[in-house]
Amino acid sequence: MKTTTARWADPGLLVLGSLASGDKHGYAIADDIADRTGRRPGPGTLYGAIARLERDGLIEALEGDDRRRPYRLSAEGSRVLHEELTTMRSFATTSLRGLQRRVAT
Amino acid sequence: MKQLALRCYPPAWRERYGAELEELSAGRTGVTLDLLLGAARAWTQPLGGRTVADRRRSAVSTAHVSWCLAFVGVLGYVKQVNDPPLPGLTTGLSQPLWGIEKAAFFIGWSVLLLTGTALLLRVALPALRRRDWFVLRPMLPATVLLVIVLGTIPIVGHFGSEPPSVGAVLVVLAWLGLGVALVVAGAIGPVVSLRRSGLTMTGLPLLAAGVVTTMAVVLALAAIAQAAVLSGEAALEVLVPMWGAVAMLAVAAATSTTSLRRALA
Repeated sequence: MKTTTARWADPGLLVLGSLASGDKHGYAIADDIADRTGRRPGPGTLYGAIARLERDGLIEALEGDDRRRPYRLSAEGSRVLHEELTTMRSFATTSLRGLQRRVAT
Repeated sequence: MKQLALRCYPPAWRERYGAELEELSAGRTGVTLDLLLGAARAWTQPLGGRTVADRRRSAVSTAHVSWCLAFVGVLGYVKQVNDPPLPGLTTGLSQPLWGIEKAAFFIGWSVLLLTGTALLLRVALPALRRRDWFVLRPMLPATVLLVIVLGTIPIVGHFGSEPPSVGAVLVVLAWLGLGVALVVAGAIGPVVSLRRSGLTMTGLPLLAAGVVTTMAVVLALAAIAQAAVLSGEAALEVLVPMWGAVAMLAVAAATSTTSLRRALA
């Protein structure tokens, strides 16, 4: 059994998910998360997640303007994101199947 | 308010993410609480990818800020358990704990004042000679507030001896407000100056940070044990603020320990 727990609303996961489609700076990450989830993360929440991910080597800061420094997903970040999303997909698929069976009966 | 919240972040954090945080906060309303919570988390979440010197400077800075937080916690705790004294405060199991708390408080302050003064002189004197206001400026608010708070003690003492009137209460409250501002400025200002000076932390400040952190842990553990002992006899209106103050002590001890552990890793 997998020990990874899908962190549905974890800002870190949202940042990783946003960076999956390309390098972005904080402002663009916040915009992207707002588009995808309907909720814009606060600056303190977003940069708390960015700092944690950078410390853990899941994302990397690229050269850029001090105020708009772009970030990219590292190889380890891609692996972790893939694992988390696979777990989430598995959970969603199993739950939906159960729900459909329940509705059918 | 947003600017104030941004200033609550640790200096290393502000240096690394400050401009980006400011950019993202610009033009947005209702983000102050989010920034304040982020700042609180940032103190317990050291930055990665830094040099040993950075981590050591952070550990010394965090020990200082944590001790200031613990000091506020101690004031709140003592007010609840000793003004008026709770039944059993100086008897039974609570008695040795009370003694341990007093000793830890005294040792922690002594080490902090001695090492802190030596460090500040190492930072302030060369900066004064160079007229380096970038380094000196963060210490100015605490210096001015210290003079005002100490200078007005006789006035507040005079009001305290009179029967309470509205004016006297207002003066005492204003003085207490200045005292709180002094603790905040005294916690943050020297840390920012230290960061800006780029001073390398050698063994002694780290040892002092270790002692101060140990005293914060001892204080927190003793207060937790004592609060548990005293809780049986205390009323709810004492219990809530008492445990709030104990929580403050525990957060201060945990924050300082985390930062020191990373510096020594």
